[in-house]
Amino acid sequence: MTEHMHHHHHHEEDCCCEEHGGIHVSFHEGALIGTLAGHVHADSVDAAKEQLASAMTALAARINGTGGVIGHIKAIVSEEGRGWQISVTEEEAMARSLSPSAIHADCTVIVFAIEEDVLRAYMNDTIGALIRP
Amino acid sequence: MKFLIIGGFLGSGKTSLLLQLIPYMRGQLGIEKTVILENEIGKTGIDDRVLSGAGYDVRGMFAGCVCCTMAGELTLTVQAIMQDMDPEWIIMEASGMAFPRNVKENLADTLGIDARICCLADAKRWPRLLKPMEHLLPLQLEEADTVLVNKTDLISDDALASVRESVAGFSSPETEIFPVSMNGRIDPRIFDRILGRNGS
Repeated sequence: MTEHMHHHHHHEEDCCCEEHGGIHVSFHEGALIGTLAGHVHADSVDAAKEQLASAMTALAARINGTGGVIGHIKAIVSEEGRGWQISVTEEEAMARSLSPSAIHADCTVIVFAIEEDVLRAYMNDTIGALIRP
Repeated sequence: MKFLIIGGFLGSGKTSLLLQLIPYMRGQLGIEKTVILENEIGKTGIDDRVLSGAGYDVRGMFAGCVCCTMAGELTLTVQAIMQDMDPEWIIMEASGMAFPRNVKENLADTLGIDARICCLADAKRWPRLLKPMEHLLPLQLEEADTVLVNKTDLISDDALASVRESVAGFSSPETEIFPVSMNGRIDPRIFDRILGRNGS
């Protein structure tokens, strides 16, 4: 890629779309960025972590199965005082304990080569079943 | 004041590097006044909360990329940090889609800052991502002082050699390339090279 092409490509305007069901999708340089934040109904933050990691793994499998490319699927699930960061780059979830009512979660999904409607549907079916805006 | 840009693709281990680098700077080098500038492409931050939860001073720039759509905001934010906090180091974790070279050039042109670049490459995903991300991954390595080929614990020696050769092919001859695994402890001499120190 030439220098000119590089700069031209990388200065396109970002675009944002409206939220549906709490899922917000924006675009940046060929990537789709899906975000979903809200409360998780679970007995504990540890249980919420397990459920969300499972849902994120399911989302990753769907994206891979459709031929999409996962950039990063990451989330924080936290309760007063403690929580977890969850990260998926392929098909397995990694969790990292955090040192920081209802359990709150923020999830960001950055993917390539997938249609917006498909990403919304996948997010809705997986993490959307857990995180309520 | 010194400035370090940490770049590399999404999920390559940038936050994990910071979680080891900052304690080294504090504990071994006595550098207490470090501000982390966290840039995430999502509209809400995730990594900034990991880092602030670990007790570090973090400023966030979200919903855009610091090398292009937020380039102007970067200048203002760095100016404000310098004025208000006067840190010894600012360490920027760029978004996983940023071109660190663009950030370096912006800082030099607008603020006269000569930033170092450390770029991470995900050794496990590199072969699979290189083709679909051919307009991003190689260019992220441009002008890097150091490149960390991360997640070496997840691949074979032969695969690592192949990835390292590929990374070197996109890097300048002066770039130092280190294979690492953030799941283990990083050799302090690598931290010294990242920071541009001669080390012990």
